[in-house]
Amino acid sequence: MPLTIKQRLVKRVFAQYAKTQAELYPLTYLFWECTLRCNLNCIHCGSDCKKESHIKDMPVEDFTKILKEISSKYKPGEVMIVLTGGEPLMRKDLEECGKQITASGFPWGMVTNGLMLTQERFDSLVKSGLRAITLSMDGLEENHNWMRGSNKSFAGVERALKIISANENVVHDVVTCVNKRNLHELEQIRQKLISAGVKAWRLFTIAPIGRAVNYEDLHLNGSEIKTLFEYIRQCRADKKIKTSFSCEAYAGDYDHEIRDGLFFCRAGINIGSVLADGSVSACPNNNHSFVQGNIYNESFLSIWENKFESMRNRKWMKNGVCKTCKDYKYCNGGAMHLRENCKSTTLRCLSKDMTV
Amino acid sequence: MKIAKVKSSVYRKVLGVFGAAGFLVTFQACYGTPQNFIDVNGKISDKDTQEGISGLRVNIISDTDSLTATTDSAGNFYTGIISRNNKLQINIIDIDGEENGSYAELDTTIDYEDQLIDLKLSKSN
Repeated sequence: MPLTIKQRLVKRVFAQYAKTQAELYPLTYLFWECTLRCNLNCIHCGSDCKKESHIKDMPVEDFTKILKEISSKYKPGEVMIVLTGGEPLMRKDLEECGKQITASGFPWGMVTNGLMLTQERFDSLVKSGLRAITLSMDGLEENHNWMRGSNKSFAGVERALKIISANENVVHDVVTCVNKRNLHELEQIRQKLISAGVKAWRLFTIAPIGRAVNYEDLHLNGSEIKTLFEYIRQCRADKKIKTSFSCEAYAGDYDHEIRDGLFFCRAGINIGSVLADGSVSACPNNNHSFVQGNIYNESFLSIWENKFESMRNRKWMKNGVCKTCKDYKYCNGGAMHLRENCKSTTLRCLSKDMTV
Repeated sequence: MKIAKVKSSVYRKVLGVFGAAGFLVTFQACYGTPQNFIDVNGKISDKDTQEGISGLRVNIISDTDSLTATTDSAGNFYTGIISRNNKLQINIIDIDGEENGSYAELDTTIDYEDQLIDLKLSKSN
């Protein structure tokens, strides 16, 4: 359906706002890939982690040094630290990491598959300052376990759902990677989440990167993407659980209707990451070619302040399908994780896929 | 840089007019968690003169946090972060004695989203 004048105007102003953010690049969100070890073997994993990694977990002291640097320029309270992996719960010293991050004045959260989350562990993480948690649930039992490569995974998620939704002080959400197999069971997943008391549900498609490239069933076609967006729109109307599409991609004419904000890839603009080996990048799932430096050779702040040019000036992204696209002014070439290097075309455009 | 800051602020305000500014403040990175914090900023002024009051200790207590700050020469304070949607208990004590007049201690409770806390104090007799 055509956009109203107001919607067009909001999109235009928002695009200008995004442009000024790229000029200012205030760091507000920092991922820490605190381990590459993982207790699952997900077929869509973007970081290709393993049960045992040859890269050792970064000592928390090395990370808190970065936080100290960041504090010299930013208010700690304005930079969210998000622990990711691998599976963060694999770290036995996770509570100590949390305590040190909190003591440095930064709020922190973590993304988990939930398998190792017990009430006792959750309580101790809350005591260590945990503020936000995101849990993955990729389908009902059969499909979730298929994606996660473990028959025990779904039971773990069900247990974790109850634990996280019972705590009012830690903001939570559940994310679901939508694919050909679970698209038809979204409503059943939603009902399960509502029954468990989950407050927010975020839906993703799966990017053709990492291990996901090898599985055709993971990737929705244009008509299925449309089905997904229509479904999210309906869910948002009834408000039983806050439902939204992730910020992974521009969604064309649906963009203003399926999430709270418009698409804006903030990688390298507001979002940075410190990877397990000390590499500094934007989002952890960005191609390794976008690594901007390493904390063991250069200060994080120096890298953040002086590099990231390819993400703050994205003119190079106007290539391939983006070159003549009328929506480029709104999406600015789409998401960074869908580029293999700073010369490549986008691996995927959901908006264009819907028109095929 | 300054021009970009001004522009960014103007765009924020325009988006605010359209009711679309909420997502500028907090966002979720693709594979990240929701953000769950807001800054507590505020200003304490003299009830009669409307001028900011320096040298006040501001104690803020919520269900999950306990924060303290001291007002600067313009009466502004910044205590740091709290969890979203909290009811805040605020206690303000004059700690610099007679230097800029003495102010009566204030205890109050507010519903805090992310507004600038704006409180007025009266001079004690």
